[in-house]
Amino acid sequence: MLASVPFSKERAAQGNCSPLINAIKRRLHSADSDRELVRQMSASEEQALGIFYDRWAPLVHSLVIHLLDDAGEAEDVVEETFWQAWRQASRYDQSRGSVSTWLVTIARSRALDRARSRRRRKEDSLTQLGESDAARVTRVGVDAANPHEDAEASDRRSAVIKALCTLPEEQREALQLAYFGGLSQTEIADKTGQPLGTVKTRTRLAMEKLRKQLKTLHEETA
Amino acid sequence: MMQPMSHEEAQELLATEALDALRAVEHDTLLAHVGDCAECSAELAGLRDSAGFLAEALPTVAMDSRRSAAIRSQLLARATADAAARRGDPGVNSPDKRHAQTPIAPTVPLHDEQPVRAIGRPPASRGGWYAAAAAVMLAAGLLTVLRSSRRDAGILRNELAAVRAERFESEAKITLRDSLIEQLTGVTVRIVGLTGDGPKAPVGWVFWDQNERWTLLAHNLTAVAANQVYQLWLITPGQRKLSAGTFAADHRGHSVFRATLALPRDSLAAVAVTVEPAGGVPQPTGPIALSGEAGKIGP
Repeated sequence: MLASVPFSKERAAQGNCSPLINAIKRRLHSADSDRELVRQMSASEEQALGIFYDRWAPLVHSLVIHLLDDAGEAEDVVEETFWQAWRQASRYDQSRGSVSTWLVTIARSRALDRARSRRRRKEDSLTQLGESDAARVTRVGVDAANPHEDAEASDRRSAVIKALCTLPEEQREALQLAYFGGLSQTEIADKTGQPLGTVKTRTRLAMEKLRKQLKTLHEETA
Repeated sequence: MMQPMSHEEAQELLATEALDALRAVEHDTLLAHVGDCAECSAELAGLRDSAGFLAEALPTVAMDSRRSAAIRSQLLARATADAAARRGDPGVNSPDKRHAQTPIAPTVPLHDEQPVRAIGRPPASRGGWYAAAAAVMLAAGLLTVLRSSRRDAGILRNELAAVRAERFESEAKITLRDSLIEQLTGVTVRIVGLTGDGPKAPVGWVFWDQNERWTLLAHNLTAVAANQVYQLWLITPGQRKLSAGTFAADHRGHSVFRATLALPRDSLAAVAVTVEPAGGVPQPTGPIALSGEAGKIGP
């Protein structure tokens, strides 16, 4: 069982939960410049796309490689994601979430579409088997060209894991199966053997807790 | 025709929508409501942002730097062409046009094809049969290889998933340990020592941090019946007994129990652990297993 992680202004001042606080601060600080980059992209300023790519490609790639387990397909999805962001920049609506949320949603949706399509193809025919996923994954190495960025990403990761650790295990499982597994609530109910209503409740409670915690942190860092 | 969704129904589904885990019909009906409801719209935006954070829980897997640079260049080239097309610059092809002109695979001229030379001189009438038999054997062999490759890929994929899950769990455990250390050793943490009677001489400590988190460490607790649990009580100077929850001990009589309960810092007089029926009780009824006065350091 995982326990809650306490956060407060005092703790923030003491630096006891600095990774999460720092991650949120970075997000808040970068939010304005993200929106500005999207605005420039919608005005067809292609250099903004380069900066946007440099800033978010590591996160997008980490997500899609996790969802697809295939380096080649992951690279395709990274390119498709940023191309879609470029083409649809004018449709970005700030009231519907942050820029990073918008981008991650595009990436996740495209990756899950591919994963489902691949699953269907494999079920249809043996001859569709291409290069082994595992062989492709082994080609992926850690790029040490930007150690500062790696440390920052690691910092953010430990921070979000810390937040996830505040959830009861069954709620965290429902959340992970939905977000990282791309499963519907019905599929999660089948997989876990729990009633659909229970899965819905767990998911709702998990998201509410996660949001509450992140909201509190936003207020504390403001 | 779609039935409109009530505000309460919509609220129930917002979290699932933020994870893109709703069925299509629910998704459409919900979005129809969200479009007209400012409260749900704001709520959904917040939940989507929270879901967006989940991606950051994953380990960073950097792309091969050359591949990443190539993708970046390609994106910029496409964006440049697209921007020019939007501006109506005739000097640059639109990216879509460029793609349309790119052949899917290189065309091989017919005259490059080489005839297959026959090995030996089988009778002309049997040649076709030999070729067919060879093709069948080749296909069977390929099918076997493909099946085996598929099985290997499946095994490797499962192993990879297991390693990732293990890594996530390990990180979660480390985080849990870190948070436990924080809760037990902070400068503002108040500690109450607990002692109890009995042959095993049970002892315990309750750690109360600034964030209203209570951590109980207990040792040598006596085993209770299957229909019984231990229950932790926080007792105020006015003798109000507040339940902090129920817990069990392991086979050695050890237990680590955590709870969150808000209490003013000057409102704790004592702490007690009693044995109660499973599920707990609103007020203590059973025998006291451990107790201690607030302010006392150590058992």
